[in-house]
Amino acid sequence: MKPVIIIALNDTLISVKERATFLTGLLMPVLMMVLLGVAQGGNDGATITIDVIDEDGSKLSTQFVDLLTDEMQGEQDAFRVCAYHSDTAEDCDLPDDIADTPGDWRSTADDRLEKTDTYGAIIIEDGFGDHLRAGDTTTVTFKNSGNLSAPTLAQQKIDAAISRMSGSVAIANLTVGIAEETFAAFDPNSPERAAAFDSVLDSAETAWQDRPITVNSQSTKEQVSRSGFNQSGPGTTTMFVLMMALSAASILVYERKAGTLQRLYTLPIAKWQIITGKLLSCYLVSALQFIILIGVGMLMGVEWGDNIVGLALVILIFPLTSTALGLALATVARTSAQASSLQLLLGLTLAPLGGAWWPLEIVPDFMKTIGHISPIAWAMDALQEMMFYDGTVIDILPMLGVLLGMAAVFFAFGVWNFKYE
Amino acid sequence: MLTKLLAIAWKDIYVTFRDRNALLYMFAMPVALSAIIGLAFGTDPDVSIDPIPVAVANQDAGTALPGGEQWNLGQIYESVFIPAEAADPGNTAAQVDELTDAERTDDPAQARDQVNDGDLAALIQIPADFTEQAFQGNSAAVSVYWDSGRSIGPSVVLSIVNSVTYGANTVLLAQQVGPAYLTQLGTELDQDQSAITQATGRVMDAAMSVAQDTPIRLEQVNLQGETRAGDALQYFAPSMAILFMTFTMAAGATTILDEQNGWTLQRIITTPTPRWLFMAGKLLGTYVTGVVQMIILVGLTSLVAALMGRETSVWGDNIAGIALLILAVSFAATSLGLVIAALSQTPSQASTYSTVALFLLGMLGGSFIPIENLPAALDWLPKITLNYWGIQGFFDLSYENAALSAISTNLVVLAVMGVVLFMISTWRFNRRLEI
Repeated sequence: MKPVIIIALNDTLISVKERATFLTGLLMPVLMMVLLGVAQGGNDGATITIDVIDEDGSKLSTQFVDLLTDEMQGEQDAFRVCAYHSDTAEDCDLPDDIADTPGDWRSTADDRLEKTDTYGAIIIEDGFGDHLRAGDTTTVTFKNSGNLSAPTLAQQKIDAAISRMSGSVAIANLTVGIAEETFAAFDPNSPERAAAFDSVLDSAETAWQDRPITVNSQSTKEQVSRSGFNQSGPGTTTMFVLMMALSAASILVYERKAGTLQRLYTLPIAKWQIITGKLLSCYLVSALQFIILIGVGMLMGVEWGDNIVGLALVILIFPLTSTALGLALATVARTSAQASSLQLLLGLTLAPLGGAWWPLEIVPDFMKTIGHISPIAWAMDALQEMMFYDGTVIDILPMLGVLLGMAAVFFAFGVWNFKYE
Repeated sequence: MLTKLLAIAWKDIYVTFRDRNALLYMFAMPVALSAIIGLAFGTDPDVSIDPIPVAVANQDAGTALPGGEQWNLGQIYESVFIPAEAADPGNTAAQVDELTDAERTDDPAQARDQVNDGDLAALIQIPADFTEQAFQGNSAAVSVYWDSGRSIGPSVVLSIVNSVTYGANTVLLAQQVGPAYLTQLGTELDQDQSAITQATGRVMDAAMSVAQDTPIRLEQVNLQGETRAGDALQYFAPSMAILFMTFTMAAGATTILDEQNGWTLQRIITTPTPRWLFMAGKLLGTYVTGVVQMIILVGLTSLVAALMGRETSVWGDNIAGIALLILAVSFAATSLGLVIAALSQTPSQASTYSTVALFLLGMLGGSFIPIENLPAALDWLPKITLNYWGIQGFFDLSYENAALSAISTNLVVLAVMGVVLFMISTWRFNRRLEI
């Protein structure tokens, strides 16, 4: 066993001293974790800018803008509402004279949308108030640049403001309509009609403040959400640990082609000990990388859970499966360039398939099933079980069992197919 | 002179397209990743997710109104999630039924445990005195207990519950505000009591209709004012193509270092071949390889999209725009590859540097996921990458049906990037070509 450990430690030492290991094994995943985490909302969520163009300028449109602002900026600073007619947000970065140049509002919004300075622009067209007062239907336009990653929260908030305003307007129109039909003294064409509409609308709006039904929303873990770093942390970590362990393939093929393996064979130790030492080194480096990336994730606020034993088991087993896959790959690649290409291909396809780039929850069932051919899917399942569901070691045993099973299959194939010369 | 230039360029093109490993990452990887993304998110603008598992614990006992009429508001929530009979396709109930897989439960504690274990996305709980409290004007609350380990499911459930709640509140507020105002108005207008009673009665009767009344509609449009929506392939086909093209360009530029290491560069320089001609030949060979790779990827990803059932091209119909963007983005990528090669001392160093640099630029530029929600202080970051300008240009052509003028900024920025990077690489390489 001693020769195996000596070879493993020697190779590990060489590997960790290499600049390439630092760049591709640590710097890249850390930067990717940060970038994807921030882009997916970070810990506190990014502030989303929404522009509002009120071309109507009526009492009703002003009321609607107030409602929108109330819904969007009500609970937290998730949104920044930039109303062109009265810029109240400090960091909207709108032209100083924007309120005085309504003719330029649409082109300003288009420009900001193109430059992604704003996520979307809500346009309330001229006639909004008149249509609503007349009991007609009117349309509010929400213009956005086809943003694929934008949170659905914006849509929900806009829908909420529309529902509330629609409700108040519907109540006002119903009440005034009945007054017109029932009270002979009520002139539908008189200014009193508009006053009556406004009065009911105001009453309805006041009543909304103390609405009879509310929704109490409570999540299983208030401090832990499935976004930002809690998705990018485990995803990036498992992806780069897999890619690091897969480098076993290119190392073995390169050493065989360069003749360094053959030189080692001349030593008075068994060939299998040499190969085992090389693999053990890859395993140790990727396990070490796993530990460091978990630490980096913790600094960024990733909630890995309290199950230290479970986490340790994942750290021990996932790199084992990945290294075994690297060995299997080494037996099918003929050149180190081929091994590198296959390593990159496997790493970059198994990562999204296994849920490293996005949660598997959002893909169809058949893609979840296909995704579980990737060891990353099982590692992610185990990590998420501990992060979000207080999973115990027993809870993650099935995932660990599958990872060990995969490791056994890959090792068996690798040993059977491996050519020393 | 031209013959030499073409010979140097052709040699590199020939070697690249004969290299099976190169073909693997030039075509297999971007096509495989585009296919995975297409299968994961579909070629439909709406993200198709599996029905969200929800439990509804409706304990509402209802209440009898003064007229003897029985009301059970909890039943409204229950029927939205668990329709009594098959709803007409296209209506709200059918859409909710399609989105969720809801079950009625009499054991909220057990359902709560299921949410805790991740078996249910959410539990909707309606208390026994829900309707009674609501009609008395007291605050009645629907509770939604949801799984924070899920990303989309709970927000969909919350959205549905909020929508139903808005409708119910509108009905209740209509019954509260309408009669009060009509009584006041009728009195002011000296209407007799029977007219006032009739009016208030009509409000009570018609109140249910206001929940269905949606005088304000929302229309979502793109930058061109069209009501089309983008799908994942429209974004990821170009993003993957550009990412892997940049790898090819870096590998192509690295062949200069290979030639130097293998002493073939020095041999060429001893022949009557100017150094600039050698560099131009290398540049041309790498550039043409990138352009051909992009053209083939446009074809292959269009084929993948068609096989997945997409009826229109993921790249759009603006052939001139696509062609110009391919030329511009390949030029910028070629120059970037040359800079990486120029800054590296050995081919293996160039390989490491290019992997790190191109991955990072790919991430920053939105090749892996769209980077659109960065904090304001960082939103300039993607714009320093050629990936960003290329992806946005192709996406505009496809999603926005953009005209050439609309992508002119992208073309100019990519061209400027290409020129600046090429000048840097030429400056750095000048010393390297000295023997």
